[in-house]
Amino acid sequence: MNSALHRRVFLQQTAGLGIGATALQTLLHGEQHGEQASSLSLHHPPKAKRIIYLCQSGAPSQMDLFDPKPAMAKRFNENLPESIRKGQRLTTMTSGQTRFPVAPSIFSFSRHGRSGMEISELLPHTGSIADRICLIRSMHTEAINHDPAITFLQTGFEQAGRPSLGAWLSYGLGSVNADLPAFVVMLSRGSGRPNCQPLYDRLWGSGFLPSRHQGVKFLATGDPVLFLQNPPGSSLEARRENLDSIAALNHLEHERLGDPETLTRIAQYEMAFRMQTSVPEVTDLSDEPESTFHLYGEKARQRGTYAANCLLARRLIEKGVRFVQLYHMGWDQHNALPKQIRGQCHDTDQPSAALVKDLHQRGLLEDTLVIWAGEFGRTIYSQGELTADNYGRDHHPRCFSLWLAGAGIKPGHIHGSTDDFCYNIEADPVHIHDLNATLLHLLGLDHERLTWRHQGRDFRLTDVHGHLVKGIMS
Amino acid sequence: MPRASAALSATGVALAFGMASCAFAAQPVDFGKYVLPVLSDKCFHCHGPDASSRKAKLRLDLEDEVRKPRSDGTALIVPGDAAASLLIQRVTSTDPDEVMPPPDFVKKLSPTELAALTAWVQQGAKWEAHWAHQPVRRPALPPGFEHRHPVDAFIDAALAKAGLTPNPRADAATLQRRAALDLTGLPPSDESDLSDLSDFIQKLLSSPHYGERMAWDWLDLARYADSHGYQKDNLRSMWRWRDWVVEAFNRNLPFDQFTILQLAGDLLPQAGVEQILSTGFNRNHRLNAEAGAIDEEYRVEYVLDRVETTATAWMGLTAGCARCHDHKYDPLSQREFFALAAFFNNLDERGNDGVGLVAEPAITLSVAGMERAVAEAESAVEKAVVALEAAALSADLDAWGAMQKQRLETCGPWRVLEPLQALGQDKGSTFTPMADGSLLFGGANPLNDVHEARLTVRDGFTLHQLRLEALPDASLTGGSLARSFDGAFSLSGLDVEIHGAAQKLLAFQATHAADESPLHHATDADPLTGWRVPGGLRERVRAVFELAQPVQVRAGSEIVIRLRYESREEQFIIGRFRLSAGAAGLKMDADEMPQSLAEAVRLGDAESLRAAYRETAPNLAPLRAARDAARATLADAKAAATTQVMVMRERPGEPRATHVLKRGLYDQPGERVQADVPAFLGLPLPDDAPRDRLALARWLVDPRHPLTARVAVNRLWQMLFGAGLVRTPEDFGFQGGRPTHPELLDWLAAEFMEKGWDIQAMLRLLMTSDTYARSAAATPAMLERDPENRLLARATRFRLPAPMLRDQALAVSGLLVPRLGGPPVKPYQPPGLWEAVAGVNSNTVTYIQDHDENLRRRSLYTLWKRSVPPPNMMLFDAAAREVCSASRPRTNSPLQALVTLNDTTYAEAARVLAGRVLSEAKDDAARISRLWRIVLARPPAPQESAHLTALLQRQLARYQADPGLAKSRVNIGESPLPAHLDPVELAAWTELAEVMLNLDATLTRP
Repeated sequence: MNSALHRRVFLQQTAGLGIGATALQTLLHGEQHGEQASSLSLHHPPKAKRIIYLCQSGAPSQMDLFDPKPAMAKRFNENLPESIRKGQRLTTMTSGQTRFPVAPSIFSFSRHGRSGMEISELLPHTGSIADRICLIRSMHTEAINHDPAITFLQTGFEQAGRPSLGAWLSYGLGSVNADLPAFVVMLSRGSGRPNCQPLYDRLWGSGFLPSRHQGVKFLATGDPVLFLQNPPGSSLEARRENLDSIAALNHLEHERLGDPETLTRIAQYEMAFRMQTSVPEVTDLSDEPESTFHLYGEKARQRGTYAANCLLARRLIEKGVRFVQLYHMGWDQHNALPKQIRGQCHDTDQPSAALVKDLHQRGLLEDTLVIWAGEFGRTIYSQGELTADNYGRDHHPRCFSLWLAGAGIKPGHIHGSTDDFCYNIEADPVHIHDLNATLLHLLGLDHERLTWRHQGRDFRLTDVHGHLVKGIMS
Repeated sequence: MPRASAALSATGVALAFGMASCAFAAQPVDFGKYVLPVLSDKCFHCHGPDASSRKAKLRLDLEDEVRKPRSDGTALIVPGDAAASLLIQRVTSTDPDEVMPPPDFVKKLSPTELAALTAWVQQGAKWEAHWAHQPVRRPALPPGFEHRHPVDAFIDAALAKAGLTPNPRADAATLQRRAALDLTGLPPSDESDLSDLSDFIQKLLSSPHYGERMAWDWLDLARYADSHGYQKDNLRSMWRWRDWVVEAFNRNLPFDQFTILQLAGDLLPQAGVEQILSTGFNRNHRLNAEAGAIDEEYRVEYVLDRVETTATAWMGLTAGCARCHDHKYDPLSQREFFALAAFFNNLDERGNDGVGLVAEPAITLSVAGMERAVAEAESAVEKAVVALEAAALSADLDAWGAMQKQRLETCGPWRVLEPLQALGQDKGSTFTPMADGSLLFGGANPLNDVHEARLTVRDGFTLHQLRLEALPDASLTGGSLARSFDGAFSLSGLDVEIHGAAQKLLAFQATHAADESPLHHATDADPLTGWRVPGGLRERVRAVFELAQPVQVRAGSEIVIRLRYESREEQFIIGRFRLSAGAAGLKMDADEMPQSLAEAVRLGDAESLRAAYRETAPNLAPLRAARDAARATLADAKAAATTQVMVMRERPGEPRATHVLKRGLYDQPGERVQADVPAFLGLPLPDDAPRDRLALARWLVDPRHPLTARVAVNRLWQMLFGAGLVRTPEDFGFQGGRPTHPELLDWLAAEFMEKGWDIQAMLRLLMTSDTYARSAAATPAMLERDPENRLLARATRFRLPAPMLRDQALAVSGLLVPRLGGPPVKPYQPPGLWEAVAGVNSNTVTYIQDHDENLRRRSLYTLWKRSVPPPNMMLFDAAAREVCSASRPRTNSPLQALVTLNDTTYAEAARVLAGRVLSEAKDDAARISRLWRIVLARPPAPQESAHLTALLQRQLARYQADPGLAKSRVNIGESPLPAHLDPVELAAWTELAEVMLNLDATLTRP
């Protein structure tokens, strides 16, 4: 085999797992069943090298957390004016309601930091990082039900079948650690509403991209990564001998048939063996000092909690993982919102803020992007009975809030605003496609040029949409 | 395009000429290969079929438009004069205001593409329509190759032209393994005769496993799954349709019939069960059931999914691109897309309907072979009933009755309040009386509810205490106590009314309570607090309440008990409850006496006593259990004797109106359209045919249809050669790949149609070629010259598809249960995967793994849950089955190695394979040879054999030194461990088997 070919084979072996994809993509262009070239290289110098995405599944209530609406207090139980609703569609959970009584948030807001950002009493720790985050109050999306909305948030399309954001990044950027996946996913269940909206593997799936770009779940039970442990009784030494034999016999096969894929396979088996060591190392929290658990909270000691996942996210990006995606379930507060949301905030507030502080202390926040986001917002009107201290809220795609922090993001800044009813956006709307375009931009990728040819079309994360949100970038 | 400006760069044109002369001057530029794809990819976006995004009223996808003289007297193309052609001027311009594509467009023309365009114009600008839209005409075999096998004639002619020498034939063993995997998805069994490949192929085609193998790819296209997908992802019942597909391939149903049946079998004259069943194809799409989802939004989604799937599967047409606007590349307008949708828009279906096993329209079918099971179960019930009766007859009822009377009259046991009836607020909820006096809650499972239970008391008693029991049941989450996500419940209140008066209750004692949710939360006034138990309990939970004032309950009075579940802990509702009344001071765990027994004791007649004895006497418990088990078996057999399938069925009366949907949105109807086929294929529907699915299906298999046969044959080629002649099997449009051998593709398509769309005949033809039988050996020179093996001088090796890998491991170990068909099965899967993502109100919250044979069925039968597909398949690039998929990339990743090394499926197969080898051969050398032969269908080379021998010695030494480790090494999976084998030896051989199952050769189609 000549050296050029050998180089290609080598690169195929390590594709996405050890080499920045830049050089790789050129060489792999046109491979029959391998990679298509995503782009020739990063499109521009990146601000961010990695992302931690804290996905709050179920849609957190923006007017109880991030977008105070004091004017609503006087309108308690008034019917939502048609001038505000403007005939916009509702889910069939509330479209049959005869009234749409305004339910002011029962939670108070106060100003935090030098920026004076107003944040709910439910999120005191988030308040303490107000000067580090950029709060967008003017997000909007398309779908009105969870499944299509969270699929849209994560894949840029309401229906199944498209690659997730993390898969696009794995494809576009590759990984910097040969022993860990480029894209890791962790799930936790909310204590506010444990019986909640489900999640789906497609949210971190690779869609039409090759399957090695799919998110690798780090699990709360059993092996931290699927099939990581040897079968019982299969010792490290016995396995090592087997792998050496497999490699030797595969080399014989390669001598006979000359298929470059055989060499790739030898390398992948070695990588698998290394992962069997590197994954337990990174998930073992015993080397964390006590101060870590003061910062993230005691729950961080308990595998599978949101707090533990936040801590693990930091450990993973320290090891070079490109994209860590957390999902915290249980934000779908159709009834008993005051009770349920307390539980959700208790789960997430401290660890989310701790993560940002921790990254900052370690100097990682400069080139790490942190996003805290749900799939849509909630209605100002109460779903079901409204009382002085209890209400529920239905789905609302017209406006919602999220925050970002870190690389390239304007800290201590609020972007966009909504009307008094938190029903329509008043200024600076940001669509999911705009957000995704901006995320890619911060990573050095042009969302119009990160493409994959499928069914004759060059597909993008942002479909044919997306504008950079300049106002949130530093 | 505006008038060419004076700024036109002469140097640009000159540059292009220069390149044209070197790259393309020697021979005519192939328009379809070098020009049309460039126009499509770089120009059609603004100058193509989509009228809404068309700029300067210019389209470059139609010859007439391109040739039309322009109003200003210029010409886009002047044949033979590139410099005078506006097209060339603009693409070569260096003026940023002039150059095309414009600088802000993402795509640019490469120098080669510029050269091709220029040379094409210079050579006379001959136009050809897109190859795939031309009718299929059978070309002559290449000159000099007329006497060869037709496949080899085209392939070898191209090789000769390229100056490449084809590889010699592979050895017989390799060919046999290649053919067996290709046609049955299983390795060859070792008694196969090696002498004649053609006979062997025929034998494989006659195997029932052929249909299973062919079905897998079709199920990917058909987006078949065993759950509905979307948010709830409940189970569905479509397996009988899947079995129909297997049967159809096995009886070699011609592809035209296969097409007509699946798209429109229900519309055939005298359509019978099979014809209707086959239309399940277009009901395999996902079904939503999310609370709050808008019906019409999803109904429309299903209709459009049918269009996209049908277009991809039969025409390689990316119709979905025309949902929101005219297609950007192919001449399919948005209007035509919705005209296709009109064929599929006339079902009585709802959008929000993915709860039950099927959504209408559906049919019920009897399952073949179940009659005997039902008859056997019936006779078993009869026997069990007789045995129980006989045992009851022989009892001394007088003594027993006296004893019960005494038991009742002294302090007494808990008196089970039954028969009880109950109602929920949701009328869809059901309450089934169970033999022990409990009620099983089923049907609708609302978030919060109040269950009202009523009972008429026949004999009076004094009520001091009330006991509530929650009992585990298999129908509840994970066999626990409730249908909530984790099996916990939370009782927020308990009301008791006797003689119409509410009774005050005091919480007394409970066997279980979660932290901060003690029993008295059920008796406080706050509906938001409740008595809650921890999740996951699978044992009886009891709670005792005391009446503040004991009540003398009169015979004939009614007791009303309300179990309140209003704490907003959603679905935290007891799934199976029993209520008992007790005297003062009765212990919580005292035994219980059914109300019916108390009643019988009071009546005292022989008949009542005998019945009560039969149903309650502890010594008859085994006989009662046997009877109940027999009844359950009968119920299961009866349930399994029928199955439902979703099918296509037209609504009666006027067809539903179909509209163009603006931007593809369900609530933005535009112009109304009638069902019709796209015009660009030049094949209109016959005037006299009704515009229905049957007409559409017949149109697809009309021999004049340019796409159907090409697309079908290309997929068969892909299956045997690793990639299609067209490498984009899902896209035969302008943006799709050009065939590597256009004439061969057309020859095969013509042959396919002329021979009656005979799939097996086509496979036989392809597989009897030298091309198929070539060795896969690749020299560096070959790899350099043709890295993708487009010219097929060698056979293409490729990693086995996901299901084949697992099936192969099962087959070589001997574990495989080769039985065909039936409901899906749940083999090994790592714990917690479903649970981790599960949500409210789904019936796929918990993965309850099957046992025995169901662990060892072919992967085709593994239950496919869309939101969490089997991980050992997904890691090997299996399609997710959410939408139609015509091909998947093949990747090679470390996580795949972890599957075949560590997944219980493979680890067990390795151990069982080791046992098989130990039993089947006598000494180490023979065993190594046997092992190699079983897995790879060939004997090991001396070097290979030596390698394994050395490994065996090392592994044996390891386990001899630590026999305990050996025992644990072989303790994997549920298949029994052969007692006669020495664990040390078995462990060492298990290591060898693991090596064999993980060889590149094993994982690869040779």
